[in-house]
Amino acid sequence: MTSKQLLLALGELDESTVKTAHLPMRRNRHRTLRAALIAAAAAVLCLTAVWGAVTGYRAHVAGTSDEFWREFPGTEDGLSSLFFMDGLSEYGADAQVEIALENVQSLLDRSGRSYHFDGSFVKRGENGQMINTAGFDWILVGNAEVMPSLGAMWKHQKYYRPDVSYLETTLIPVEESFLCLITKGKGLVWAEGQENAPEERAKQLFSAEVRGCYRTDSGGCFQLAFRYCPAMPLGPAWFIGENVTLLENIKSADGTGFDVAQMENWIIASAAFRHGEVTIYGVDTTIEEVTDQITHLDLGDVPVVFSTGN
Amino acid sequence: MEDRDIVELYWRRDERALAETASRLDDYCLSIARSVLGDGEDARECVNDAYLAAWNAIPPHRPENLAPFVGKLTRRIAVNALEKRDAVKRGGGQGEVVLEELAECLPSGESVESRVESAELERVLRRFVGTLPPQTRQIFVCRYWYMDPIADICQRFGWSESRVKTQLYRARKKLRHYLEKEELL
Repeated sequence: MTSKQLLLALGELDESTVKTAHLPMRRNRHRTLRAALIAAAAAVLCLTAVWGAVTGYRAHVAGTSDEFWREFPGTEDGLSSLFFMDGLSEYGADAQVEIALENVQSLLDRSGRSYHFDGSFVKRGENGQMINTAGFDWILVGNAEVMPSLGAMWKHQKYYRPDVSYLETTLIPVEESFLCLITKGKGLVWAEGQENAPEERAKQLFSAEVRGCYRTDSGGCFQLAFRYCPAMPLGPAWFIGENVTLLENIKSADGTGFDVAQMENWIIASAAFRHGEVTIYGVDTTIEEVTDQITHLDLGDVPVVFSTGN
Repeated sequence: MEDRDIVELYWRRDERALAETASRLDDYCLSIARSVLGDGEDARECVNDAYLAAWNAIPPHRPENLAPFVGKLTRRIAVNALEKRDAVKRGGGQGEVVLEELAECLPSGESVESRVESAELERVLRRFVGTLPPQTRQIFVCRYWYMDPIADICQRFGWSESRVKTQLYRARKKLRHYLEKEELL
């Protein structure tokens, strides 16, 4: 059999299958959604630009690990715990929110925190002050996990809480009144001319507290682990990620397969933290591809927990 | 004019059938041909050939949905036209890329020429596509039937490029296992 023969045979699929695949309805819905997102982002930008002009806030953008630590002095020996999640919003559209929340909660339970996770790690106090009740020193999450206008997951009606600013969970409480925003260069979200939106938004919400913004280039939050976690002081860490996002960061150069070396780097980066856990979960398919690659690696004493929503 | 009316024109051997088909389906068929062959005269010729093929196929066929029927013909002709072109003439279509991707589903090395009966392969592929989850099935068909560029699929489904590529990678892997299970490989 040749690939051409296969391609020709695929051409003989049922007409209904072929027709359904190109239904325009879904496309239009996404276009509408995206237009709404862009409009909302533009509105936020206008408001925050005014605020930024008034306060003279200037975002700090660091590009390397060294610059990062220079930007945030005092953090070098302060890290004692890290919670890291990314990619959960992949499942918002698939009504898998419950599973994502359960997985996050499960990992939190195993980390020893008695914390009820309802979509946010940060609560507001009576006077409106921010309280880091989760008990982690650092919390790294992807943008989409926390901004309802950006990620499908928290747009889920049941979990949408207008009283909570979802940007708060992107902020990393290093110490009291010292916050760091980690953001990413997602083209869809931060379109040209809106690049400073997250910083400006953070300034609007926590003007005195936000000391800077660390911006990575495109890609998932896990890329941060690749690059910087080995440089961070040791401490327990909990990683949770959907396998698509994980794969995004361990894909081979051609973007299609797995790169074991990359995977190993990632695990080693994770292993730099003691007594932490790596949790990987997938909903739509099995995660055999990941487990196949991961099982032969020497993970030391870092437990790796797999779960699937299937 | 409804599909059944146009098909009726074909059955009556009324040449207005071709004009009506072109009027309704020209953009659709041209987009399929261009997906495979890229922009250029080849795609146009391919669509014209597809109309002629439709003329020859109806009767005896009486398709309920004209668009996928003519679309299939267009696709088949475009795929067959691929190998007639040399590399210099490549027009930026997805055909060559898709062929390379599908080659992953086949054993490396073609030392054994196993000519599979087309009809059996088609039946197996229909069953396989039926086993895919709905969204995966859709992107699989978009990629390997319509040969849509990855970027277009991302836009259509609102997914990231890596997610689409990952889903396609898994689908190809599944397809290979499926073909092996069905003893076609």
